[in-house]
Amino acid sequence: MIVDETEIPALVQALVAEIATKVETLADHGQPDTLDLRGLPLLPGDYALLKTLLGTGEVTATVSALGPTRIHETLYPGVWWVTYCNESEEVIGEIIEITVCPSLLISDNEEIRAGVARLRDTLSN
Amino acid sequence: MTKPTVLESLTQQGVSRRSFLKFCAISASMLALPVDKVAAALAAAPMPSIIWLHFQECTGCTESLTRSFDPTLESLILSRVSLDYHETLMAAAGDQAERVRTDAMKANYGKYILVVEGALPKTGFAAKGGRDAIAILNEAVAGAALVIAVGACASFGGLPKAFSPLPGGVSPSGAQGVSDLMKAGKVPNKTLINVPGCPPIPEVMSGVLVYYLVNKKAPALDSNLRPKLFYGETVHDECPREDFYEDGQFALTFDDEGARKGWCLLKLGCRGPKTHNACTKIRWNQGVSYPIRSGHGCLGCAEPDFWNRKNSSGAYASIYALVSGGGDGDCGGGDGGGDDDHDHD
Repeated sequence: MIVDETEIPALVQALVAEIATKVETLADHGQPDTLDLRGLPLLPGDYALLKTLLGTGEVTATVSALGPTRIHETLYPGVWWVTYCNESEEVIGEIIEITVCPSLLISDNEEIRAGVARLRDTLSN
Repeated sequence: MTKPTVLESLTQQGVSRRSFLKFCAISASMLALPVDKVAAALAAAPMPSIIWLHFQECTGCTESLTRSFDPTLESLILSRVSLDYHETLMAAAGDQAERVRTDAMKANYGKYILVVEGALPKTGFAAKGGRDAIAILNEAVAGAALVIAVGACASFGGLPKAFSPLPGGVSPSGAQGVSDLMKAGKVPNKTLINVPGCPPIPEVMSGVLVYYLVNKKAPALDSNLRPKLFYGETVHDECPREDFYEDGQFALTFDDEGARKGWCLLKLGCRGPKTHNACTKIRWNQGVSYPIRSGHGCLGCAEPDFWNRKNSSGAYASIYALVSGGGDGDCGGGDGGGDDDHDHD
């Protein structure tokens, strides 16, 4: 989507610039970062515009833990939009993660080991 | 014996790593802290020792915490895995229970978190194991690293402190909150956090604890010793009915046209503009709703002396005149404790 830059509110412009800087830091130094959307004074219009500007990329995922968490990579690799919901599907938190892969999607090593044990158990039973 | 960390304790309870991370992310957002910091601190922090004492109250605060469905991580952290002593939840009774309390205090002396639920009546009105309530509190506060007064009763005296509106009316039991006793020198002065509400929101109780575990100190407090993080704004500040308030559209009875159309409830006794709490932000029952959204005005339960009104109109006395800048305010307790904080408009 093409948006005339003069129409973009200053706060959204500042956010996009901040995201760009964080993505450069990720690319150059491997340093991930987050941006808490709940902590920003975004008007509903700003929020919708930011979501439209970033768009949806190739990856979409849902994590079922304490209610669903919906994750999608935006059109910009390394920029992930993460929406936490409760069991009633209400949004309880929303962040933008600047990372190669959101932490919620990565399998934890200790859980991997516990999982292997369970898997072997299925053979012995 | 080394205490397991918060993460280890939760893992033992069958909580997945992803659930833990999600809890950290939501807590971090609520506390305005970086997610990584919260996750790293909770993964490394030893599970705190919590001693939870009940005094003059209805146990509604414990109900608030333990009746939240699922169970949530809040209830797991607070009620399942870290409590060393909780009179309602423990199986022990009598001498055995008393011994559990003294042993838990001894084992973690100077380090445990003391949670107080309920007001403290004057000597002769409440005793446990033959000992006066204030003596029991005194002993427990002495060894605590942090004291958290949960609920209106422990914070400000609550219902037990309520008195007759007639001249000379006093609380029969002379109930007081923990801060009153600290000020009077009846219990040692320790870091005290008031988490008022009748009951408090479960997420606020756990949020205060998470903040303390992550930062090793209490959050910034207001003049009533409430964490500004959760009690910094009034319930009115983000009220979904605020546009009606601005336009002067008020419901006048609970079933009139205004009430059906969702108009402002101020003239029906809503105390939102004078009440500091997080109901509009966090809501109740895992974010489902809260009184104003469900059609009933705010009762002001996080403010001191909310049970008392200055006139006979009782709980539904309107504060419209006070909020709109004139007249006699019907609000506030007899000693004026409820409305001394005028940083809201």
